[in-house]
Amino acid sequence: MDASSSTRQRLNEDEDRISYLPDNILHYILSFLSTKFAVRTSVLSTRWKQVWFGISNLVFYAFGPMDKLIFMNFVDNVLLHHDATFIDKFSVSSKLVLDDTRVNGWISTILDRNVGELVLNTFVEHPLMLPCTLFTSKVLQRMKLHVDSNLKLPVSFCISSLKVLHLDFITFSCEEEIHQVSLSFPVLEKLVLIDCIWNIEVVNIYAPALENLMINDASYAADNIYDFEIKIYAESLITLDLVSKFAYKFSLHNLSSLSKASVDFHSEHGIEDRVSKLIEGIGNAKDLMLSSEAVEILFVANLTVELLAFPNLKSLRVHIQGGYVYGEMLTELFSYLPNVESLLFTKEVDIIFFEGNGCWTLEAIPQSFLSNLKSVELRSFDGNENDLGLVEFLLKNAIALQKVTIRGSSALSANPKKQFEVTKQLLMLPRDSTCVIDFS
Amino acid sequence: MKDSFNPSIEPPKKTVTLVSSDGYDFEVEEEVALESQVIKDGFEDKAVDDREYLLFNVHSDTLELIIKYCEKHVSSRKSISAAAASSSSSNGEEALKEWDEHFISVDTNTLYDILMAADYLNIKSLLDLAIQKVADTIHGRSPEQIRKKFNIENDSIIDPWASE
Repeated sequence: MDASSSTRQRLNEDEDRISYLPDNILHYILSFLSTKFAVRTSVLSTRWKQVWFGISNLVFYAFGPMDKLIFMNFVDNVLLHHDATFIDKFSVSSKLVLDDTRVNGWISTILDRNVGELVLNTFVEHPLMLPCTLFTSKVLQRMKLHVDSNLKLPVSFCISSLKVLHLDFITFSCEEEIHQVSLSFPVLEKLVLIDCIWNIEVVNIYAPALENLMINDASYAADNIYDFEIKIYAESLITLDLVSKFAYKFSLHNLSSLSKASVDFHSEHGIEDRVSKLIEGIGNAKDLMLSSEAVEILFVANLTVELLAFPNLKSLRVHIQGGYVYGEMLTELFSYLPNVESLLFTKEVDIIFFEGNGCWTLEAIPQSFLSNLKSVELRSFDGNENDLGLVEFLLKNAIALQKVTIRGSSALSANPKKQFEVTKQLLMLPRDSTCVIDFS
Repeated sequence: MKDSFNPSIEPPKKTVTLVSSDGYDFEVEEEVALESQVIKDGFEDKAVDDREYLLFNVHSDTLELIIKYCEKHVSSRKSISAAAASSSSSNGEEALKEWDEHFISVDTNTLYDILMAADYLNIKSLLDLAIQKVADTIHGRSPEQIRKKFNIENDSIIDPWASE
């Protein structure tokens, strides 16, 4: 296998070989660059003058100090000269406040050129009026819009090719008097809706292939509550991630494949009915994450009992916000979830863990919950009395427990002396010989 | 090679022969050769005893490098999936990335040879690695710097963008 003795004449190191690479390779090289650098190659030599015309990725960034007119003229010029019959990707990300009519013009142009992926992440002078050709595209596969814009929806439409849709900061309204729209996405796999505003009474979203759904309307400034309803039909949904103030009613239908659900909600308003409807929709979940605020709302509204209708729930995660959770609320939560085998506590901050009217009466946790528990994980473990007391209690009472995983808080990790103390205390706790403690 | 001289537990691995454009034979394990989509596609059509591939566009110097790359990737994939199966922590992917980085740090002529061979043999990960290397050289450089780097002679009389 010795080829070193080959007698090939080495090419001259000073030779220009890149210019003689075939066009398809050069297009490929330029597609790895942002469009600015791809276009700049046109001045290298006559060979390069038109190479970039054929690139299929048009990616524009403007994050540094840049004149907005120069930037917009540049995008216009690129779209004017670019001659590939299709555009794989068109992306504009900028911190500039762009002229909305020109942005709208770009969108129309690239939709005409069969764009496969559209990304807009910018500011605009006035909200964009998105063109309705968005709905008729047969080739658009991925769309991410993070731009103040208005989208007037027809009563019913179908985007047949869209696989990933991410909408951020979009205000939806309806074309017709009838305040009901139906959106159909036959192949959509991922849907993200962040701070969207719906001025429509009923929105039906049909997405039979949808696997991931993320809705976050919690940072939306207005604290109003609307009588509008968003109905989502997604029989293939696997993961749901919801952070909401329930400004709108969500109803989730046919979630027969749901595996992992993560819900965090809070509100100043009475939202019991809305919460109840959501809980009803996610009853198939195997793995559920609840924020401490969600636990609190469930408790206050007497809704915790509805979790009894979660026959498949094996794994429960409680995310503790603001550093505390009321022990009695956890006790109630646990009493309705007898089948849980894995319990995980995560914390937002490293302060007090359990609080309540007095201390958390651990003895009140029902044996039915404890006896099925196989694994427990505590994150941001502080090593205080409460934390250690919980571990001691679980080791003593959770008879099927096989593993306790403990991850120290940053404060604890920064204090080796205390860490050593805590390790010693943990190891001295009485436990069944089959149970493993993993502390780091 | 007689089996009795080399008693091993595993059955002998199947090999194929790759012949470079300058006529050198390279005997490689089948799974290594199958990293090339072109060989893989051809493999299914070929008769069982015909295990020789003539690569008219790949010089032996380049082929040697390509085989080295494919062997490394086949073996790394195995150890990464073995580590995943035993759920032991591994930095296999990171190590492979580092190896790739080192592998592609070659002079420009060799880089083009690898690039063209990866395109010809359709080895996507290697093509991307080589393309990225060229793109990195262009990124952030002025036209004059790029010309110098790639020995491009500026034969254009008018700069088409100068007037705009």
